[in-house]
Amino acid sequence: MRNGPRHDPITDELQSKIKTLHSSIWERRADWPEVLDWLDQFEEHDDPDADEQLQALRLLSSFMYFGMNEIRALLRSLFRDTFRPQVAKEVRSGLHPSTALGMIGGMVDVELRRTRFVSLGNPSESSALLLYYFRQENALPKNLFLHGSDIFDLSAVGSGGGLKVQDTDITRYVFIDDLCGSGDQGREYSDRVVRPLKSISPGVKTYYYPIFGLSDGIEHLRMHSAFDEVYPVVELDPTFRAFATDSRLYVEPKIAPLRLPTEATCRRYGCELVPGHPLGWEDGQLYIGFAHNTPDNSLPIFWCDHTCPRPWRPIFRRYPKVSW
Amino acid sequence: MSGVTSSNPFSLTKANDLSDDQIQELWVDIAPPDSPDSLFSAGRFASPMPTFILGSKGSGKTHLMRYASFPLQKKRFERDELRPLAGTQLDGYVGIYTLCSGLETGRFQGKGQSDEAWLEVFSYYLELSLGIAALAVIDDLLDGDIQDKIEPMFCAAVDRLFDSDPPVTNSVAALIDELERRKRELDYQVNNAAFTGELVPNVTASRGKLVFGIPQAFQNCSSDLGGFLFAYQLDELENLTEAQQRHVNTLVRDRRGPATLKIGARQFGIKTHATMSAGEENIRDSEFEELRLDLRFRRNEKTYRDLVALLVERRLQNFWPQSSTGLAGRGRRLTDWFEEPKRDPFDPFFMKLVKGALSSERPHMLHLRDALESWLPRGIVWGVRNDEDIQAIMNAIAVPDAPLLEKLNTFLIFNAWAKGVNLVQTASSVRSDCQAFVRSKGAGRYRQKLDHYKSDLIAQMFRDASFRHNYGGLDEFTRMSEGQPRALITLLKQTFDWATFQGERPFEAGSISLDAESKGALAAADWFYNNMRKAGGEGQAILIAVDRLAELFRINRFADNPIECSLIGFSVSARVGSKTSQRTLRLALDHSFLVEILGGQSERNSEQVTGKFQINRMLVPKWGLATGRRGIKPLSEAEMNAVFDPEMGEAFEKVKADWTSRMNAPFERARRASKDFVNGNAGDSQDDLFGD
Repeated sequence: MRNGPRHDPITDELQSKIKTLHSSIWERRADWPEVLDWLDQFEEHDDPDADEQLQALRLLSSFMYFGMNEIRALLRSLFRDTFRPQVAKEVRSGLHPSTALGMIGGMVDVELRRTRFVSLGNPSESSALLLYYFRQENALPKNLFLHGSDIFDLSAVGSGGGLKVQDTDITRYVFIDDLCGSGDQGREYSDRVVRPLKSISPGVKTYYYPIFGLSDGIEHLRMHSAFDEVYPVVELDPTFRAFATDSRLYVEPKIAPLRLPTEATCRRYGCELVPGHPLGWEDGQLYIGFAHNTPDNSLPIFWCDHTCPRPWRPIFRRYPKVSW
Repeated sequence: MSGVTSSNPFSLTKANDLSDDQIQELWVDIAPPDSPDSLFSAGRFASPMPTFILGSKGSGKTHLMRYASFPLQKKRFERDELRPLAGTQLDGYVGIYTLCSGLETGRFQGKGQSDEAWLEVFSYYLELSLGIAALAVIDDLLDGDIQDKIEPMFCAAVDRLFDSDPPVTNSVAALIDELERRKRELDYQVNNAAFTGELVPNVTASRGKLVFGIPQAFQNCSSDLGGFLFAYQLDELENLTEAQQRHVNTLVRDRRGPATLKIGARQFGIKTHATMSAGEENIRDSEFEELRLDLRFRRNEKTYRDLVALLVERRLQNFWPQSSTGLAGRGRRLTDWFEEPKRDPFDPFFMKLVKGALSSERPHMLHLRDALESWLPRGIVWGVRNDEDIQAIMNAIAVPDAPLLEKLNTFLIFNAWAKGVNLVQTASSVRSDCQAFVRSKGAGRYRQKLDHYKSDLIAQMFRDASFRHNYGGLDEFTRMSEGQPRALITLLKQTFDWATFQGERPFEAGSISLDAESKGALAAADWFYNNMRKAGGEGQAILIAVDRLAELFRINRFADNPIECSLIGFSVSARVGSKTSQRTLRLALDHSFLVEILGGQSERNSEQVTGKFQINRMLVPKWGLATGRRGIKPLSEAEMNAVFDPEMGEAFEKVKADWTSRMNAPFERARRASKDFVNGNAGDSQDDLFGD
């Protein structure tokens, strides 16, 4: 990398931007030696347009990192601006328009007490961690939270009885996740938990609220899952895909020609790192990371480590789900 | 330090942001407080003569005034196990610090009320504010038995200071409560005047009655209470309107009893010295004294260097305990923590700069050869008849082992070319001068040229090599801060940030790299520059002017034959320039984008007609200019207007063309452009912009 006395205005500008990000939003996760260490894995070229290191540096300078404070704020928004208004809307829909607001508020609170917030997947995964912060940020009592397996009462299964719901008073189940990429994981969960639930309690409502969601994945879930409501706090439209034709990273005319060469670079390394998904899970092409982990929908060049087919030094490490 | 966790020991740059403890612990002085040379003494807090403490932003006014204020005095009394009254008597004063911005003076205007009414309201408001502050101090000074004895007598005396509705109280605390109540009432009226359309304050005390009467009443109570002054410290006076400043000036003029005023303001924040006493003006050294902080520092470089070294040490001790640079047990000098730019012409660094190329392939040699070959056919290369002559010149000036000297030699050839001197002969004498210098390294004409032009020559070599220009070393940073400690702290803050980001361990191990220092200097310059964007239209005018000036200085710095070395300064006659350009010049000075050059005829307030100014050196990294000013370029009226009048963009382009043409081969004087330009701007008889 062009480190040292050589003055390259583009590198200087990107370095300056990364320094600002590092010391603020990135929570000091990527100082310059680490960046250089990461960049060293790419090839350097005298022609700036063909210089892989410069391409990678430019991508890195756009990396969207959400620290714990930001995640907590988004979790507040999830409850305050997404779920609670939805419940209020549903409550109001059954009432006369003249009903006093105070009364509606009371009814919403009653409905909230009959709601359960559920983590997706294994209790050791990020969804469970998010629920912990979600409870703290929104000052909710812990009896409103449960794990997916606690939805059902399995006591009669195997002794002639069928699957039952543990608590029949519950009217709403809210599933919280950090990111909905392709929607595969959500759909799989829907098939495994939500459909059986709806089959025995058709009246309950189920909600899938990821903090971030790619438009395609969200649409896929709305079409093909059993959730009644699918809504992300932040929707990432296709322009958030790094190399989409209308990618927001390459809008500037000066930068636009770099889109395809950069994609080729990322694909080349990605093929070695995650052969089936060189640009991220299901071609996610994201450049997003969270304090607790980096999703696999992001470009593998950011998060792959020594466990990949080609040992790699990540800049925003991903802690994968290890199978034993 | 208490309550501070920071990843950068220089992150706090404004005295307003520091706690009392931090003000105390970060205070440094150049001499013991009782020495007449000390900064503290210069504030003359115990002198009855009012003092204006002036200086540009960041020159240390607030730190000095807060350090001298009562909350900090009390801390020192506690440390010295003195009771407040005894300590105050020992100090000879008690400092009553008030920030003018805290008075929210913008409220005292408009809203359908007359200027006279607002001035009276402001006057009363200030009276109440300072009266409350004085009473609070008195409440602290009265402790133990003396309080019971004195309080009723004192309160009765204060009652008599009021023209009507005296607050009938028998304790200082109750007095304060009552004055606070009246102030709140006034706040309410002022804040709501726009809605109520009314302003009917109950003014119960005349101007100065409380401000000067309360200290007098206090000291009249007992002879034991005398021996010190109440020093009202009004900081940031620039936030007051001209009329409000006139009111403060009147207090300065009417000062009486055991009270005085110490007023802090930006250097150009004093809008008037007029008073309301029959329009009389206060005269310096008659009604008040003046302390100009940054001027004091800039006049005495050594003192300033010592001060900033102490200041940095103190920061490190308090905020960066892991530093091994503490005074006790420090293994190295403070300056050793900073990598210095290379200046020695024999340093191998210069060979790296030309990538070890042969003389004939180095950029400066190629450039000279190219210029000679291009202009030879037109017969304007003096003394050069053919390619053999060119080759002879190139052979004569080559210095394979010292590229910087070789660069100087090319400059000397260009210089001779500009003067119309025979270049072949010049090359021969340059060769012998250079060889003599290489042998002896001694003083002489060649050495002098090297010293004078080194900065510009190195800058050109850096540019040829696409290297980032270097700024670094504590001495250079000190020089760049122009007598403003905050500027130095800002430079160090940015440098520290860059160094740690790049994996260095500043003040712990190794030295801060030139790379980090240069980036820090550039970041500090950008910060300083971009702050001005917020200053609206005036700010834009300043930016345009300073950009233009810098552009001209860059033309000079990177020219074949710079007319001045390390040019960042200019001189201009006070009678020269349109009203607009003079105003912009003044604004640029007010905001410290330009700095007056001290000495001789430069004094702004003197009778001299020519002012000398320079770009604030904090800004120079933005344009890769020099930090060590040498040359000063006199500006003609046309140049002055072209630079300082934002509307004169076209004229400025002509000035640029003129400068470029004059300083670069073949050194045609751009007669047509110059003449058109000069003649087109009436009254400028300076045909040759540079003179001889």
